[in-house]
Amino acid sequence: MSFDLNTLELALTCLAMALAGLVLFIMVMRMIREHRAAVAARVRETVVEALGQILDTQRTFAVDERTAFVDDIPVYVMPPPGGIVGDAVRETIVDHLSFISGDLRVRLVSMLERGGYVADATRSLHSPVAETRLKSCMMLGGMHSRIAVPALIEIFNDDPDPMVRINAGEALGVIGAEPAVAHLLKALRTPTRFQQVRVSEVLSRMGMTAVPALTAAIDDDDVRIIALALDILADIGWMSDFDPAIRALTHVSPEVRARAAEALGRCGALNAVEPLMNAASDPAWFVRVRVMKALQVLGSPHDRSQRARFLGTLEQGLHDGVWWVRQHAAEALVRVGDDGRRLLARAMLEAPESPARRAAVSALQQFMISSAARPKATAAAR
Amino acid sequence: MDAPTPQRKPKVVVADDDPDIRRLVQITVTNAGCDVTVAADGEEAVELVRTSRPDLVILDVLMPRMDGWEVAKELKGDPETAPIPIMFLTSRGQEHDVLEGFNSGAADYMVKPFSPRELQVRVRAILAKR
Repeated sequence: MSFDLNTLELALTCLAMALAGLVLFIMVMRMIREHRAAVAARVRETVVEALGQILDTQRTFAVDERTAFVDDIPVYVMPPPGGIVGDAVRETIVDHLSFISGDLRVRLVSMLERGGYVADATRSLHSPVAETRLKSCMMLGGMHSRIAVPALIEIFNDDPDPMVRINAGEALGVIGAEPAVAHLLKALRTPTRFQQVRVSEVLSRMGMTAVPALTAAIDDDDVRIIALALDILADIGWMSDFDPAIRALTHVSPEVRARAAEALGRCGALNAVEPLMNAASDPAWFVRVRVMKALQVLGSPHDRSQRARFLGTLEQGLHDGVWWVRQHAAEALVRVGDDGRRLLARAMLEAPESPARRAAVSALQQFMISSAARPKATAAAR
Repeated sequence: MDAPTPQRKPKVVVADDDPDIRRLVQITVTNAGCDVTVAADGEEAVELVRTSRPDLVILDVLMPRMDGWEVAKELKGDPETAPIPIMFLTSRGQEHDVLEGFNSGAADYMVKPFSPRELQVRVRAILAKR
């Protein structure tokens, strides 16, 4: 076999040239990145300087086309969106939006809107590339502009990519626009558990904005929607009207009844104490547990006859066949005060193997331990 | 520590590791009629408070070197700096965080995102009590 040195030399030369080309490419890319970073840093400095005046509470603000005016003096001209400069401006303003609320936030949002940044990101929602659409959703969420809400709702409902839909939902949650809530609720019907969880989180984060629609959803026909709405309202800690949840205490589904009891407790529905007492005999043990927990949180009514019935309900719970129900009933009795603790003391006189006695002993022990741990001044005040 | 006189602007120390927030809070509190100095972390904040004896300290919680809770405990544990009111301005808004803040001796607790106008009103309210 003859060995062709010329071919070897040629091959090595090609390899060397390829390596040199690769190194050159890496160096050029690095230089471009560094240049972009330097430009972005300079742009950011300029924007931050201008924002110092724009966010001055003592001064008036207006924006006309791309120009921001403070006390009628132009302080900043927004560059067109896109490119190194446009991206740096947008990122700087979005960073500030992340920690500012109130009317000064409106100033920044209006700069992004009048500067064409919101429109530019909205156009990108129709890109054929899913990654671009996803990034646009995130950008629009960061810009907090309600102008983007209709387009985001459309993407949330119709985009073929589930991650794009989820990010559109999250952007709607960040913007906090009430028109979006109905669409988000509709999405809770989706069979995908992952999407359900994400949408539930979005609605929880929206907080009070989502409360009216969630409260109305308690009357939905779909048990999943009712249950999720109650869970989210429990997380938020408020309902615009307690009646739907009170009605849900007698729903045909025990899961709904349990969630209704929990939500009423966590939302502080004092007018639900009576219906909760009625629900204390629910055939499903996990409903009874939630009822006892809710009564523990809401506390005893002041009215004497209602209070007697309240204590009777808890005493009934103390003798429940399920340990958890007994435990929460006992804890609720401790919190009621002397009347509740007398009932527990009475339970301690029952036979040693009595489950109610064990629950009473456990609750009273916990109470004595926590009382001893509190500062003496607090105990004296009580 | 001297109470603010009509001729002397109240002194405020602001501590936050985020330069944008630091700058915005500085501008906002300056516009409320105060002299503001800033610190970028907890240790710097403690040093600044001990040397300048301000009328109010505004603290972030999540800061490098020493977090806001530790700064508050340090200041409240020193008889020289204990009377200085502290306000937390932080993204930590859970109930237990708020309770922790007040248990550390804070006079007020604001959660980010915050309204600069509201911050000004709260700062003035705290300073008016002194």
